[in-house]
Amino acid sequence: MRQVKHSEVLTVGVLVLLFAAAPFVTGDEGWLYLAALIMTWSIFALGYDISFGLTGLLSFGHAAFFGMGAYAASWAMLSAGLPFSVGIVAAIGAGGLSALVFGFVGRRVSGLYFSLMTLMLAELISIVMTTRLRHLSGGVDGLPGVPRPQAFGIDFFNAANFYWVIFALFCLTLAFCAVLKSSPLGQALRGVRQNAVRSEQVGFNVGALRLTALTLSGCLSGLAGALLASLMMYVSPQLLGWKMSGDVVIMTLLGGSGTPVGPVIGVTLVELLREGLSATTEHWYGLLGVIFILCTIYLPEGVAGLGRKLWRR
Amino acid sequence: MLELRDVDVFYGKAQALHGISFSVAPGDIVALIGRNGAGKSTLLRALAGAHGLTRGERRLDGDIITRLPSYLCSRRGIALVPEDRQIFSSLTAEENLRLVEVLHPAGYWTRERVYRLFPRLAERRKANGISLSGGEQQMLAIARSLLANPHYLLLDEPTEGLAPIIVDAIIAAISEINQQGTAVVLVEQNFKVPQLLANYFHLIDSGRLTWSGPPDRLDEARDLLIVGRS
Repeated sequence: MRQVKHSEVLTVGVLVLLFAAAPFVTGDEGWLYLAALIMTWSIFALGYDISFGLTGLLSFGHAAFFGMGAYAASWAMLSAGLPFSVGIVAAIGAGGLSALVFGFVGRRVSGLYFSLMTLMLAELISIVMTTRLRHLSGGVDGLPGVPRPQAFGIDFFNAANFYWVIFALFCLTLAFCAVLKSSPLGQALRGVRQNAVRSEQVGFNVGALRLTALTLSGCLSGLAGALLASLMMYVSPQLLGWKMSGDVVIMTLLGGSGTPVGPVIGVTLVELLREGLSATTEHWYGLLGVIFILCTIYLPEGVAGLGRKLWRR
Repeated sequence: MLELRDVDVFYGKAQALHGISFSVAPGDIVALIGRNGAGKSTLLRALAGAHGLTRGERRLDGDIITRLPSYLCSRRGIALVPEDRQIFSSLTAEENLRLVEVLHPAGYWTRERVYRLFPRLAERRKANGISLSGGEQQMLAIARSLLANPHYLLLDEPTEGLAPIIVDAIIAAISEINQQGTAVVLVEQNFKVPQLLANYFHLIDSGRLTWSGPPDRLDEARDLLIVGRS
């Protein structure tokens, strides 16, 4: 048990060092953009794993938290002219609030019904935003010109400079997830995942714990959404679509849920595959599907699970 | 006093309990005996707030707690140790205990004291729940309930399928728990273990209490249980 924990600390350390080293190894904007994209999606996947890996809530609707975070930040910065930091706080709030609503609506359902409910609520939001709220969301065209931070006279439109902003938030997210996992709350959530009925009977308010986990998960998803919008300098209702929810599920499962490195590995794999394969074939998503199927059969604990097995040997 | 009054319980359309009235007073050890499927576990779950009542009421010290959710029943001092123990198998023994410890106000039972009660658990504190033997899991399940410092401890067949030496350890533990002021409801299929501990007995058959009495009238109950079997 302790060995596994050492390995976790070690792998997280290596990951952080790798991302920290990237700007020194390459000045190429394309690669830095890719690395920043991986860290942004990793924040999303780490947030997703609070709900799925830690608490056992399989949600198919996380795109709603992600997308609402992206829009909240964009509205705050574009329409209200507020600074980047306020946009980030707004995104975290919007992601958390949407998750709270989902959790409240779904408080009496569990298992597959919960998953389907999240999918439907997220689709509802996506459709309303694309059609009815076109004036707010920019419709299918989205909203261009989502700003980046303006502070200390640093040019954040420079890829390397903005990279460090995302890097800092990525490290904070990793630390937050590690602290949460080992905290009494994290242990209670693991208890809920394993046996909700028993948790209730030993005195845990399971409903409130699930709601808390989903809300925290939504907060991080919202943060990731805002960072993506700022990184791409663009936001569109696509970020709210079911494909985003599907992607984050696939990434988390592929890397291995329940560990801090798993989701990051999953995101890295998918993004590198997307980068590598999409240049050669437009059917890269199908290839990703094949890889995903093979992984679920042969690596049920994801790539991180394979690493864990090798470490134990 | 923890009690059920005129309670009916259904599983879907099947009625499991018929007009049960049952009570346990502070400091008592009450045994509930019956065959498989007689309704023992259902009665225990109804008492613990883990199963809804179709009719009747559940009371704790005079307060009606029929609709109190089970996590609040737990916080009011009712602890259920189910037959399948249901420890958190992905957590270590120690983590299982800590998890419950943080929830409830401190009392007589602390982690040190439950480790003294079950020295075997202290040796295995770092072991994952899944690698514990049946007896160790039972000890852990009881220890975990004790950390809530319950007034009422409800045990569902705590010695079922365990080695004799473990059974002795659990009997001794139940006796000590009771001496520290916790009332115990003990569900068993036969009299072997309860007659060493209990000061009052109930027989249950087909969801109805068929006999109740003190230890010195146990012979009547034995006959009933045998008649019921034939």
